[in-house]
Formats: sequence, C-alpha cells, structure tokens
Amino acid sequence: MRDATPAPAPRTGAGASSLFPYLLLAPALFVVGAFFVLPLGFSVVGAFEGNEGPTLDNLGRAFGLYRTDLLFTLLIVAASTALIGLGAIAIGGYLTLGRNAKARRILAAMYRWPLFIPFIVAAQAMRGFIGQNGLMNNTLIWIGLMPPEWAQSFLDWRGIVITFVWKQLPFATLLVAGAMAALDRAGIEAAQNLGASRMRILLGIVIPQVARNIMVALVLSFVTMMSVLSVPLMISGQSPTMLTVAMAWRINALGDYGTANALGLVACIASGLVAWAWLRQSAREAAR
Amino acid sequence: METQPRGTPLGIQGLAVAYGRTQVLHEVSLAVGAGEFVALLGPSGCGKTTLLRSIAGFVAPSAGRITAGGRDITREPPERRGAAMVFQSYALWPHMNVAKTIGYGLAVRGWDKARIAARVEEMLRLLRLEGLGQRLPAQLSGGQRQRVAMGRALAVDPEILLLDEPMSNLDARVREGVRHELRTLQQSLGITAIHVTHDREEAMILADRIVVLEEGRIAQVGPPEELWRRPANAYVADFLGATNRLPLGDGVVMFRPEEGRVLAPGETLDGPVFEGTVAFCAYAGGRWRATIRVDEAEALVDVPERLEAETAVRLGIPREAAHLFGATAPSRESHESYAEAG
Repeated sequence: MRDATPAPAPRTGAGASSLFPYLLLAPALFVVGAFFVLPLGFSVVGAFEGNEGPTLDNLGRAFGLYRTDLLFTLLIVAASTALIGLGAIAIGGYLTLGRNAKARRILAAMYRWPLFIPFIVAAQAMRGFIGQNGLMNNTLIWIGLMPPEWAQSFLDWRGIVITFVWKQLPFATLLVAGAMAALDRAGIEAAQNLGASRMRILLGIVIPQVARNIMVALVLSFVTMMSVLSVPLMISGQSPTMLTVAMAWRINALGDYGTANALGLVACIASGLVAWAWLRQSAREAAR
Repeated sequence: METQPRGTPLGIQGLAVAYGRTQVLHEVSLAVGAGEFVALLGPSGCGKTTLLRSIAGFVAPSAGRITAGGRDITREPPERRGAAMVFQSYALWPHMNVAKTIGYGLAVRGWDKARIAARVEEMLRLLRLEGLGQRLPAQLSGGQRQRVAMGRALAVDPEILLLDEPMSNLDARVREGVRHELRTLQQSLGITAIHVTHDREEAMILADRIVVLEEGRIAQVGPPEELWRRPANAYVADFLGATNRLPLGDGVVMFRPEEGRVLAPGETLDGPVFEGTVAFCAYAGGRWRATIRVDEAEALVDVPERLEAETAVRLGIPREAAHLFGATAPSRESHESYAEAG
C-alpha cells in the first residue's frame, strides 16, 4: 500500500479559517448587540441618571412611590404562574391519562384557542365577561346559582389573574402536554398494571419526567406576564396596579424616563431571579 | 420456596379484538392451568402481543370473555386483574431508582416503609441485584434492567405473570442464562405465566405448553415436544424449523435440515426418499450444510462430510421427521414414492 498520510495543512490559512465561524455569527451578534443589549444597557444606565450626574434618586422614587405596585405585580404574576402550572398539569394530565377518548379529543382541540387571541383583545373580552353586569354574573344569576345582590365586579386584581391565566394557560399546556405525550406509554402502563391510580401516576410517574418542561413553561409565562401592559390597563387601571402601568404613566404623562428606567430595572431583576433559579436547578439536575 | 402452585388458572373464551376495521384476534379460546407456563409463539403481527395486552387490560376486546380463577375480568381495569406484566422495553421509570421501582406496587398497596424495604431486599437478592438499589435505570446494564422489570412485577406477588418478549433486547449470550433463571423462578414461585415470544427456542425451553398463533387465530396448542414432533399444519411446521418443503404425491413433505439424510448407496430408510443433485455445500460449524436440488425444488440438509457440487445423491427423510401436509396449491407430481424406500 502507498503511504496515505496526508501532507500537513499549510499553516498560512489557519488564522483566516479560525475566524470564519465568527464572521458567520457577526450579523446575528450585531443585531442582538445593537437592538437588544445596547438599549437594555442604556435603560439600566438611565435608571441611575439624574439632571446632575449619577444618582440613586430614580430607584428611590421608584421604590417610594411604587413599592405597593411592585408587590402587587409580583403577587399577581406569581399567583397566575401557579394557577397556570396547575391548569397545564391538569389538562396535560387528562390528555395523557384520561379514559374517555371523546373528551380527550374535544379538550385537545379546544385548549389552544386562546393562543391565537392577542392580550389586548383578551382583556377587552374579559371586561365584558367579568364586570359587575358582565356575562359571568348575569349567567350565574340567570341559572339561579347566585342572588343578584351578590353580583360584584371582578375588574381588579382578580380580573387580571383570570385574564392572564386564560391567555397564558394554552401556551404552558402546549409545552407540558407535548412533553407528556412524548413519554413512553409503557411506563404509564407499567404503573397502571401495578394498581396505581391515575392521580398517583400523574404525581409519581408523569410529572417528575416532565418537570423540566413544566419549569420552562412557567418561567416563560412569568416573564411574559411581567411585561404585559394592556391587561392591567384595561382590566384594572386604578391603584394599586402593575409596574407596566406605572412605567407607561411615568413616560407618557410625565416624561420621567429616569423613574421608568428604574422600574424597568426592577422588573428585569424580578424576571432575572426567576430565570436564575431555574437555570440553577437545571444545572443541578444535569450534574446528577 | 413453595411447591404448591400459587398462580391462578386463566380462561379465555372466544376472544376477538379489532383495531379499527382490522380484526387482530379471531375468537381465540385458551385455558391455562394454575402455575402453568404458556408461551404465545408467532411472527410479528400474528396477534400474540394483542392477546397478552387484552389479558393485562390494555386492549378492550370486541367479543369474548377472560376469567382469572373463575372471576370474569373482561371489563376490569388493568389495576384490578391480579396480573403483573413485564414489558418488552422494560418500561422502567428514568427518574426512579431500583429500590423505589421494585417497591412501587407495594407502596400503591399501602405497605409501610419497613415492610417494603424488606420485600425489596428479598427481591434484590432473588434477582441478584444486591447493592444496586440506589441506581437509576440509566446506570444499569441491559440484563440488570430486565431483572429490575421482573422484580417490579414479582414484588407484588401476582397471580399471573405476563411477559412481553422480555428477552428480545438482551444479548444472545445473556439470554441463555436468563431463560433458565426465569424458568426456575417461575417454577419455584408456582406462578401462572404467559410469555410472548417470536423465538421458538426460547418458547421450547421455557414453556409447559406452546400456543402458535397465525394471523389472529390459534394454529396449534401443545407441549413443546408434541409440537416439534407433530406440527398440525405447514405453518406450524415451518415456524418450528421444518423449513424444507418438497412436493410428495398430492401434498408436500416438510422437514428440518438437521433431520434429513443423504443415503449411502443401497441404504434403505423408513420414510420418503428423493433423487437429487448437490447444488452447493457450505461449512456451518461442526457439519456441512448441503443444498440439494430435487427437480425444481431445493432442500437444505446437514451432512457430516463435504459433498461435491453436481453429485447425484439420494435424500432420505426418516418417517418420524417427515411432516406430510396436503398441498394448498396444486404442486408438481413427484414420483419418488414412500414405498420405494420402505
């Protein structure tokens, strides 16, 4: 056989070829840098800018004026996230373990609808549904489940939570139910075969295997809801309200970019903490 | 260890299953005795797994009855059938360690922790998995996984053990050992076992009785030796290794390569004899396997010595090894008669 050892590659081209992958990445990096990182940086810097140089006044004002709103926002978003998690697990669980094939088909076809409705339209529809003389109260009174004098408006924090859950649940369910559907059926059958009830299978077999997907769905939902302006604005604009409303108010009515930036920073930190908790947990799982 | 069978007799009467418009099982009836080991044997698509899954309760039959110990379980959900199943994929839970997996059925039954731990230890010992209780499935070998799946099923002390090709994912070398272990285990526990397989050797070694399935119907039921010696039809014969098929009279004779013989000049034999020529001869390890052409047909025969191609030979099939069946399709007449050699 002839000597098939390849000649050593010429070293002259090595520098250029090792740069090539970065060249390919450059347009994407530029877009991310110019349109995302830079403005984010400006708004972070803006949070510490005053008329006379760097200051903590903006953050002070943000906390002083909007402490209640911050708490209100976190509570609403946390409650909505928890409800979305429960709802997604319940729907995904029924789609995976339900015995009635027809009910499963109907549920699978229906749960996605709200995905295609914008937040603002959802909020608008909710106003008509959960107001004092809204469809919900009228229906409850009409079928005799509730006396008319009980009718009250849900157009407050409860309305925001209801709208958030209604709008964001399908998204979370899509991720969670998809992961559940991808599980090995035999694993579920094995548990069933050993006598486990469906609730036990859901808690002990299904959820642990899709926990990561549930976390992804919840983190993404949390961050999305933190940034929605239309829903709190339309459902409940009065005080206390969510940070997004306060930010819009500072900018549109007062031209106060400093405080708005400070509020934005707080929202970023809240979202960032959630993302950090999630990443830390995934890293711990990966290390196992 | 008990000697009395602990298992339950299982009865299947006129069981029919359809997936959509495809009829998978046609009126299958079968009686399995307490503590009996029955193998469901057949190629893929014959309905053997469907039959097993109907017994387990994962497939709803369109007609027929299933009874366990006289109790009608046809409409019972899987968890109330007293049958534990070992899955082909093992179906271990990736997030659950071996001890928790084996103890799962016991936890479902509300056993307290100490009792579960003791039973799990016992199963780990029985299945030679000592010290592996804390491992996850991903940290086990194929054979160990298979034993964990077995342990999970046996831990609940089931009346009936259902095995869905539990050895098809094992190396041939490991499989040999596991077969004997499984048989010993089943006999010592006295449990009723239904074992699905497409491996005839596995079925022969394990089972008290073999059920050969053909397109959703039972082709033959019987002890391994009986099926081996007297296959009821060409399908069973072919599946049990009698793959040679030579036309004889109005029908065909089927036989196994290792049971056919090349006769010495002048030698007589009680059984059909064919005149043929050697087409090909290859070493098959300890013996030679000759392809012998008889008119238009060919047959494989094991011979002790190499045969030269184009040699004229007489191929004899001892009467007890010659399985005669009426031809389904008209076949060419072949006049090497029985009597000539007899």
